[in-house]
Amino acid sequence: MWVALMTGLPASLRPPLEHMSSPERIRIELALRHRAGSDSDASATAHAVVALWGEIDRALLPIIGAAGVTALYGRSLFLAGHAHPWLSVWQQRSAASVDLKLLQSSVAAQIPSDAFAGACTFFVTFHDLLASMVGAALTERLLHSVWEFPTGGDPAQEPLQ
Amino acid sequence: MSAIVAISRLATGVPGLDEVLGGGLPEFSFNLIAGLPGSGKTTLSNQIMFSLASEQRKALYFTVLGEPPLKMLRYQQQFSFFDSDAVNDSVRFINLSEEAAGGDLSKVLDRIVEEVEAVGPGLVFVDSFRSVDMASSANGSPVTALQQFVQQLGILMTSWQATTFLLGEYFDETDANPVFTVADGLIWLRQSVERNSMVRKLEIMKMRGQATLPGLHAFRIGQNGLRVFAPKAAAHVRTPPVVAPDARLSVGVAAIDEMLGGGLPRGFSLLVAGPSGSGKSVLGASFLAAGAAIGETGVIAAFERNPALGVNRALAEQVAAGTLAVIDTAAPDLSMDEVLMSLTAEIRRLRATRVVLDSLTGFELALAPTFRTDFRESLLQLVAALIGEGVTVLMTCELEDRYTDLRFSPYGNAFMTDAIIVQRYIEVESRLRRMLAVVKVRGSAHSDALREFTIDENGIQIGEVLSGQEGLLGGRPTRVAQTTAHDETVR
Repeated sequence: MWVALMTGLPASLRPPLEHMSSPERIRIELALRHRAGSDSDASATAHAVVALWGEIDRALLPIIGAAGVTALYGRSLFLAGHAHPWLSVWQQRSAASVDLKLLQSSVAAQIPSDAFAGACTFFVTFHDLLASMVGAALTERLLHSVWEFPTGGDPAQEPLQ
Repeated sequence: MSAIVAISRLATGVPGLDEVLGGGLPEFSFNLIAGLPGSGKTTLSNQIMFSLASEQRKALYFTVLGEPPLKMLRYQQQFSFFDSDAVNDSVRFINLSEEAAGGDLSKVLDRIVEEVEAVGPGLVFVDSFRSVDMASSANGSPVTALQQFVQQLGILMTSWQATTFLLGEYFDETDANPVFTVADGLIWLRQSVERNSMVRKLEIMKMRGQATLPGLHAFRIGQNGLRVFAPKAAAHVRTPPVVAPDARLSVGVAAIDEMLGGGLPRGFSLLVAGPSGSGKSVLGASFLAAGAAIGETGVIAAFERNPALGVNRALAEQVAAGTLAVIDTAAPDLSMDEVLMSLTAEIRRLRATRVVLDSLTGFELALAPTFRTDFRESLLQLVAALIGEGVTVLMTCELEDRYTDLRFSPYGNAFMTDAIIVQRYIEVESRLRRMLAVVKVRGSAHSDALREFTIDENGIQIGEVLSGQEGLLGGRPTRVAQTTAHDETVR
């Protein structure tokens, strides 16, 4: 459905459609699902988004600084907003800092499937944006721990963060 | 037990830099890397860091307010030395822009100290210094606050048992900055612009406890990072190998060998001078081919646009067989040290015994304008360094035919060569003909005859002694009334 909305957008503004079923997307979906629970509602997804972003922030903040992280965050939301317009409704283009509460409430306000799809697109977009800047190898090096989680347990039983 | 502390020297991983530094970077030294924006400070630092960092010697790279870290990571990984796997392992990048933006330098210092104490690194980089200066000024802080900060940082750095680097975006070298006094090492990167050429140069203005190579040293930044062209003559003065005084090399033309008194003495430098098209490059190719015929290897630096290599099948075969190395002389703004470094590397790789420089005229034009003024001196050093490598050198030199005086080189370098062959055009019976003569073979008897020669598909063919003519050097000889059959003499 949202694919139709993007017709005519320049390539640089399109979300990473080509990665929609890529191993990266699958990994990110798993990471999000793991934190949100298997039959999660939009509110659980919103919590998971905040938790996942917190880990990204911890990984990147020491290296690229708050300004760098905020810039990537804003750009990712802008790009992902083409596929999921609700992601960019609240966005402040020149925000000096990341407003996670705003993102959290925006995700929570969606129907569960849209909330999850939008959140995934946001993180995939962010991942690809960083990889386009510093390369896939270094992105993997920096964010590896964020997407990984202990295997073996029932994800739904993991406590929400 | 020795009472003197032994300072170990770290190999920087930057080709040529250790020679210029006088053996590497002293461990636990506090170094300033200064230069204008774009001079290569960040690249040099990253190159040193990735080369030296290990599990045992961790590195911290603090970015202050200079290049945004994302951009730095993006561009530095274009260099081959950048190792993504080392990031967050042996190498950690730490951003201090928030602390610096507040203008409170003590926060920057506290954070640096905190990280250093937590990690215990062997290498610390702070990039960059002038950024702190500007942040400080913007906040209305007195300049002395910056000076105190830098001095304090310098003192702390000295006590960390780490080799430390402070990068300065911009320095006025005449500035009485206290950090200059505190620092153990001061590496200055410059960009020398002359006419349309830009040459990067590096100077070690200070390195405590060791003898550095003084002066400005050219460097390039390429795919593998920095490459410094250390002057070989000063860096490795080699004793020329002892050769039998009568060891002679064939130049590939039996008659010229005979004229030289039995070939060119091994370890000699031979200058072949002559006008355009007289056959200098052909003789150079013949010299290399004669070596190849007896299993010797060679190196050629061809500066001419259409070097002999392109037309000489024998040379092409030698290159294909791997017995002849060709130096790339197409790079813009060459320096003498860069050419020498390339020559030396190939000589050592092939264990070469013969080197051809074709020609000095093209060589001079290939150099950046900034190096041309010292061409004569640096050529002298280059030839001395090549001889020091144990090779025999043949140089060609374009010589405008002047029939009013006898000259062998426009560079005044005839004195420094051991042997000279001069080629000239003469007009005989309305034909333009070639002649050559051996002018000099140091310490050896040689022919003093003027011999006519031709060039055919087999190379140089030496003809008869031009007897019965006079005024040959004037270009328009006249026949003398009486001739002797054999007036060639050997002195």
